[in-house]
Amino acid sequence: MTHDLAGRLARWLLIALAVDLLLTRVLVRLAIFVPKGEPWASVGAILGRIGAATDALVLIFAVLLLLALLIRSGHAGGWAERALLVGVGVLAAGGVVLLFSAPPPTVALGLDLLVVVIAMATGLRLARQSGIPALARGGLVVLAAAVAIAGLSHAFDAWGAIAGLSDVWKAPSTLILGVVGQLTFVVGAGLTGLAGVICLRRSPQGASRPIALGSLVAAAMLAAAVFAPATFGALAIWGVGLSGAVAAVFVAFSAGLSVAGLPALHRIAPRAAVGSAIVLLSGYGLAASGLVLAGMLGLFIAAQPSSQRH
Amino acid sequence: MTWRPILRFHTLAPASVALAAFLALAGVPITSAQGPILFTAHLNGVLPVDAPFDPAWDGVRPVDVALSGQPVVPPMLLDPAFPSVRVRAVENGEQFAVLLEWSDPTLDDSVLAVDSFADAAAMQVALGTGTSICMGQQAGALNIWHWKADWAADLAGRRNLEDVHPEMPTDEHFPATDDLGPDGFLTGTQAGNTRSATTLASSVEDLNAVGFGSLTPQPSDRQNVHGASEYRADVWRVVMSRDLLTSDPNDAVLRPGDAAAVVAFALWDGSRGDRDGQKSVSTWLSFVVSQPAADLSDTWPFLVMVLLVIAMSGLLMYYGARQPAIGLGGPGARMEHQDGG
Repeated sequence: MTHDLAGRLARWLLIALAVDLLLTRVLVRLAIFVPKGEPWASVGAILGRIGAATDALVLIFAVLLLLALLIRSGHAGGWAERALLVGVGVLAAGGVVLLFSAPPPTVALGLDLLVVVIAMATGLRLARQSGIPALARGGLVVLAAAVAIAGLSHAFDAWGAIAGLSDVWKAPSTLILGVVGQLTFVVGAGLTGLAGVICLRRSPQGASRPIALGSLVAAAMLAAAVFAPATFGALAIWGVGLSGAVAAVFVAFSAGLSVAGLPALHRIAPRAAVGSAIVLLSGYGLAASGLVLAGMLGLFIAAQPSSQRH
Repeated sequence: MTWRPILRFHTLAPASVALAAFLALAGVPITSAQGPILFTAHLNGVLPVDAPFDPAWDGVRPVDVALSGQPVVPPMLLDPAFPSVRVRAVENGEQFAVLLEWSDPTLDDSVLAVDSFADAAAMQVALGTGTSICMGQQAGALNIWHWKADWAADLAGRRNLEDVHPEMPTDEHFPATDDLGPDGFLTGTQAGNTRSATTLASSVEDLNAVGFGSLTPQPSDRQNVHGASEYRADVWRVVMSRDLLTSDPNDAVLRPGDAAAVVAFALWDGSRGDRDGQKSVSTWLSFVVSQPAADLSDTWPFLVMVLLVIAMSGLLMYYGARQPAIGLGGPGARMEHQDGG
């Protein structure tokens, strides 16, 4: 059982993220509609505690996965992999220190740039990863770019705080970066899912069920966007960090492709599928430190070479 | 002693769930915000709190905060009136000031007509952690600074219904005694309602909330947020300022060097009928009041953390290198078997 500890932890992180998305980021926030009187107030409070536990569980599984990957890299990893993992570790510890201490702008800038560097380096590793279908590889590289853009956007704000009073240096508006980043995130999700859907043609189990499920998800999201656009928008922001820069129809289409295609991709390139699912469930540019860490680990897992010795 | 039993998954998974449940029940937060941060810039001397277009503000790099509609409670706003608000924050060691800037083609600064609404802007700061952005909750209060264009206009010269309807008939005020002034008995004013006050100290109302329907102005002697605003070339600039430290427990804590707080912003467009919950809102943003003289020594917790992580990572890798039998597989030893069919 110890032989695939990291693999199991990655899957549990994925499950914890899925529960966190549905429970903490959506259901708990919808609980603000619950009436304030008893017994509803108690129901809302219990939901809040469960949401907090799920939030904590994501971080715990992410840290355990990081520790397992660090131990494994000592045995089988190269220097680049080890350096990246130490960088992810610094990022994780930075999130813990932020609980107690205000970050000087230099530290915030350092952490944000670390996200950019790790995402870009992992993206390069992904681009060279021959064990992943080309389209999925492209999708993952685009997802890595989205994570890097989110980090870059935060870095500009931190740099602005440092450059501050010398108005010599003007960074581009983070709003523009936000639009580009969200678009990149949705495109990356769509490409990765599409790669899986294409794999479905060779699937002995047939393609009809996954495609039906993906279509159902896309249709449900489209219906929500048409009939309850405001609620859909709020849930998209709260759930995956998409603040409306990308049209709902593309978000729905991309989500449908992911739901239909990632299980099929899992049969061919399991690490790529699990890693990309973790990145997608971590959302775009969401601030919670557990989600930032999970997103980094998702990219790292997807970039694991399939020929690596265990 | 061997670590293998501890590293077994069927030990780790339930222990992790139990730990998460314990932390949640004990109310111990372990996740922080690593998103965009609004830092205050340090200015020496007097802050330009009364001059929204002072050149000093232009030297502070702003943070553009995206806004969305408010679709949660009526009156809702599905499409935001403004896509974003530009925020700058400064302090001088004694005072804090925040400048909000946004484009608005209409100047709406009167609420005297029945169908007129005023432009407004607000900043809310959570007084704790885990606070709902939707007006807070019982276990997580908010301090809200609410600037109102009509209050700002009234500060320059109070207007009355007669200014909007100059030909309106004037009833006899009751009771018509000299000590109540020309308007006679005004219920709201006599009750101490800040919105009915005949004289205003500031264009910013200092409020608290612990959930929907709980918005409450602080007592008049604790209204300590100063406001200044100017409308120029279709652009509003609003400055809200306060002393960094106050003794009021209901005031936002703005202590330099404290861990990041969270802050959110809202704008109202009077010409679109925005009022109450009908507003353009942001999500939470981390907010740090920087130490006035931040230098390398202020980064020591983070430097210690980096050293610890490097040391611990080295130990773990060393342990891994000496345990070839464990291997730990990567995220898919079993995945590999699947790869191979």
